[in-house]
Amino acid sequence: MTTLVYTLTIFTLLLCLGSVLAAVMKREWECRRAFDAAWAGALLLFVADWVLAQAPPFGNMRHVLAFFPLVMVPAAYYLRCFRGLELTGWLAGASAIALIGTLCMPLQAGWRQMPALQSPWFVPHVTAYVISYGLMTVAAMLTLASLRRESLLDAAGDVVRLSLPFMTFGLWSGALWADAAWGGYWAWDIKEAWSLLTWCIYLIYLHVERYPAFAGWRRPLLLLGFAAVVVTFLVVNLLPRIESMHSYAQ
Amino acid sequence: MRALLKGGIMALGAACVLLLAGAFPLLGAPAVYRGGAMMLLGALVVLLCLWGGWRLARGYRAQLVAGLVFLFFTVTGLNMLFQYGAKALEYAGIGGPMWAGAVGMGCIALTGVVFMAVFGFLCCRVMNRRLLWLAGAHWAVGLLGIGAFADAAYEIRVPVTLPADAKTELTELILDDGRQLPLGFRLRVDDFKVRYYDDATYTLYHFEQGRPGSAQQVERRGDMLHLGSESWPVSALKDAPGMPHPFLMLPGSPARVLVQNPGTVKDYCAHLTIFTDHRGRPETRKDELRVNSPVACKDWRFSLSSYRQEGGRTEVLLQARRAPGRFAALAGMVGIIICTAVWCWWRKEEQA
Repeated sequence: MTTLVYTLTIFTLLLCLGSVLAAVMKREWECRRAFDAAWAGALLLFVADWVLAQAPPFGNMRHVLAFFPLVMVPAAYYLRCFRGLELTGWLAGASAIALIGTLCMPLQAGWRQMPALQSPWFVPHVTAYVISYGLMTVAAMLTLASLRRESLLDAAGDVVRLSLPFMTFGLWSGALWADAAWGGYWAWDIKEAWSLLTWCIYLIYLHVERYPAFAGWRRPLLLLGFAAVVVTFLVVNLLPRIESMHSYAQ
Repeated sequence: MRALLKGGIMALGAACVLLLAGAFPLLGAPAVYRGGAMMLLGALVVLLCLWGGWRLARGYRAQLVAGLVFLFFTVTGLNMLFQYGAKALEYAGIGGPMWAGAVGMGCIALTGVVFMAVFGFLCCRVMNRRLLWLAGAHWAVGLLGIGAFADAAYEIRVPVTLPADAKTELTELILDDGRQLPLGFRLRVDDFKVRYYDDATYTLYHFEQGRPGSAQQVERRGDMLHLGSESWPVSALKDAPGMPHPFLMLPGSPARVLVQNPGTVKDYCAHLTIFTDHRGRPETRKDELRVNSPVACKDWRFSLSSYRQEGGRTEVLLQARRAPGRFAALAGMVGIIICTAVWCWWRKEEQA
């Protein structure tokens, strides 16, 4: 089973990279089909992880990163159909980064869901954060690319507006869950503080983006927001000396 | 409006700086956040949000108030329906009649359908402008802030340790400053159950001069335990009063005992009896307290934090909490989630 998981991860990664390559070569049809196939691979990987863990596979960082491509493909469709943005290559690139991350992490097959995680909030909370962080990664990539093509900055803003409700749901559903599990909706835990900080930075972005007077703030705020995402998602959990109520997310 | 926006951005920026200042463990995050600067900043953010929401809804304030009240009652009503459905499903899941499962699924499906219908009506008829949802999000932040301030000032949170002996009753709480606070009801833990995943390990202890000496790990294959040429059925290990885990005494000299070490904890629950009153009449309630399912009585909520087992005695660690701002804070959170989503996902052409 572990061999299957690694095979599926590499298969999905190759399809994502193929999609990126097709986007670079401006072959739109191939780019979309490769990403669609990557979604199928990611779905199989998700099922294999679920079977291996015998629970919804959100037990560790590898599980969460492996879930990224699964939400990026619907996001690409949404952006294309409802927002008129063709960002398949960018989303495929973000998925490839996440999948490379999964290959660097140990495959912890047996995952025992601790009592606090056995809640109806668990799956929606984690899923919302995965979608949000994935889309914010795309927004950061677009922001960097906008240094060469200015119009991509507006696309980054659109992606942030698509992503922020997921981040909002993740943050406040976590508080609602904590109220039931820990007897208090906020404890100023290090992970909570960084999540709130990240959310606040994106709120500032939304406040300033419409006003020409603040046009120069947009790019730094988007990059700062993404830096905060990285700290919240990775650094807080990976630093060994940090004691957090969220330490099971390591 | 421009000044208000600048004020809002400055307040948010200051909040970010303060959050960043406390977001390093060496600085002692909670101490930084619970200080006066955070309280002052929080109050400023709440006032700005309430004022910003008021200004944003100019010309449509009655619509906004009506829409938010409608949304509030819909969400609370549907939450009750959903809880009822979830309880019915749980009841069916633990061996209840089949109709309970059908009722549960029906309730949950009805919750979804009614929510979609009401939400569609809200978006199309009442709060039919994108900006109204933005104003709603600001008011929701204000509501959350008011609840959080009420809790910061008046919340009482006390850790409680109760033996699961069906005798010891909790009648009052002892606060940090030594004051005693009567609960207004009595509570006891009748029973406590722990369930484990099926990943237990087994150890064989050799007794030397009446004391446990060397230990060897025993391998489990199917229903049998193996060590060298010896083997024993797993079912031979039994519980006994005063022993925390199942064990098997092996004959021979020196004495040996085979002990099952517990696996990973799957879940645990405490069975409570609460002696209270309802409309002046005494009432006895039986409740099951689980990690994600707190039990409420009068103004108090009890959460199950952990447990301790020593020599056959089990102590349950609870948290008693009375938070007057909790409801407002939670309503604010739900409001932020819904209003932000609608504002962000509303069709772009209709931006005000």
